[in-house]
Amino acid sequence: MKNRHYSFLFSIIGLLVFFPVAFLIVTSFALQWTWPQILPTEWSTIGWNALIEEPKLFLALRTSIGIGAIVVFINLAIGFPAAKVLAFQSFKGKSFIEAFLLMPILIPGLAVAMGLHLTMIRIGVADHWAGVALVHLVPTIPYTIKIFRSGFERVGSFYELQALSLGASQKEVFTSIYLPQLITSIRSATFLIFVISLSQYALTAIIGGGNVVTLAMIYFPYLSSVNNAVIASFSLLFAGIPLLFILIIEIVIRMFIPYRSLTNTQQ
Amino acid sequence: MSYITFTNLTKSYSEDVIIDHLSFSIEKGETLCIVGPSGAGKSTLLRGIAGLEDFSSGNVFLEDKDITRFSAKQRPFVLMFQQPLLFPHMTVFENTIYGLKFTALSKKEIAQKGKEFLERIGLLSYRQAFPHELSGGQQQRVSLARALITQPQLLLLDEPFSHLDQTLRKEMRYWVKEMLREHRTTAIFITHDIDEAMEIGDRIALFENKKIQQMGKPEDLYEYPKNLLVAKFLSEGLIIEGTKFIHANHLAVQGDPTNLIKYWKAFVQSVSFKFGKKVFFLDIPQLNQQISLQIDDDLQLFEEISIGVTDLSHIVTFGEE
Repeated sequence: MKNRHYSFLFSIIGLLVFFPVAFLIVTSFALQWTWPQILPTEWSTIGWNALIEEPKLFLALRTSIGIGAIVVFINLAIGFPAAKVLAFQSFKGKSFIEAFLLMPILIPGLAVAMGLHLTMIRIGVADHWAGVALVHLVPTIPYTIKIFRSGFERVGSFYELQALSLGASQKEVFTSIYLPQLITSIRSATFLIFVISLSQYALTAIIGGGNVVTLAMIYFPYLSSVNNAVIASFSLLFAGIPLLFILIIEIVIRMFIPYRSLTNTQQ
Repeated sequence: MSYITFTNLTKSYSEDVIIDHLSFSIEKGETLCIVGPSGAGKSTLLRGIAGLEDFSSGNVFLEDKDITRFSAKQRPFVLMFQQPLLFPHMTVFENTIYGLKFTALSKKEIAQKGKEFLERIGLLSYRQAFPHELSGGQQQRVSLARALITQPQLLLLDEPFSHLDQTLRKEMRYWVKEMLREHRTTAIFITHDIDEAMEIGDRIALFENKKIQQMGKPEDLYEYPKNLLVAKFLSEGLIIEGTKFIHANHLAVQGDPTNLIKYWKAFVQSVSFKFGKKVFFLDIPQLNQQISLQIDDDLQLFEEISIGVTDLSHIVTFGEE
């Protein structure tokens, strides 16, 4: 009985995910698709052609992925230690710091960006990809810290103490204890950060000043286009990039888990 | 010179002193059991010794070398916690050899040693299993193998059986004692279970009120407690007038109190059996105390009897607490 309930639930979820994606794929190849036809009456690759012919597409892809990767890297570098301290240490002013770290998602991003813009002009990173990468930290860091904090709380600090007592260094504790046990957190944080960074339009436009062309910068103008096939192909590309990125991250993580290599020599 | 010496260990959190100028030493191959009530600071002491926490002051010497400033990694000591804490993402084998990865041993030597230890604890067939597939007792065995495989110069055990059931606990006690003896491991074992301490420890120390109240052979602490705290925690008997103690060995129970120089009324509350004999649980309302005694007479439930001493020299007087 319970299994039947689950399979029903999975079917519903499957349909909800499958239909929009299938619809997008079909639309991206449709030239003419009018009511009440179930499938398009004419097919074409015009949508994809328009996308490929977009002169700034490859530059935008490169910039977006590059900025996304940098934002993910800085997020992990900041989020990991910050979340660990928040999860395991108690100190004066902890609740203030917690609230402070959440502020970027409580205060409108635009308001923050306007202020930051001035600072970035002063330090010379406005209109530059570095400035854009920095400003993308504003809407992402709070989520990263939240995700890692709950991850650390789930794992607990006792494994670390046990590993230290067995002779591990802090670096070895990180690679052999926390990294493998926080894979799910790393996966969700990486995906979320990358998607947030990829879809930033306003922040990128303000700080990048039009000089930094990301995928969002060329995607949004197309939204007003009347050609559904172009929008659909763009959307598929937009959705596919984070998936590709997470696949690469997954491969990198698996390469860096040290104990697996040792197992292989044993069997 | 003793093998490991601790001098004036003190631990305090701001104003709160947890450990107060503790000094003791341990000989090579010896197992010292530290007992004490929950919350006395035993675990803090062990973590300090392991190098996982800093002492406020005091020194740790390994033979004649001062290792006080050594980090947990640098200290040749391994701490085993209450929980087995097997790393859940590693197999039983990977868990066992974890500590060897930080040594100069080759992969081949590590593999050989890992196999050897798993065989010794009878879990070689589980080497590719993950910790959650093992029972609580098996997990604790792997945990001990993981600690012993690194050949620590001091093994610190923090109530390692506290979450196991009674039968398994007893089984593990003998097994651990045997393992420690076999490996000639010097160990400090913390527990609040007196039977466990008596069975495992070559020496026992009662840690209470920030200090070691008494340290010695199990029978010495049981027979000749030095103060009321030790008497209450480790010995059996009656405490009278707040500072005097009569050991259970010297208590006489009689229906007619004429032979007793000093006595109190007692009532049989319940009867149980231990080692083939009847053990009576007596309530002594005048002293507001209860005591379990093995008595050969056949007493009835709720029967009134007299409990006391035949010789005043059996009443030991301690100083004020």
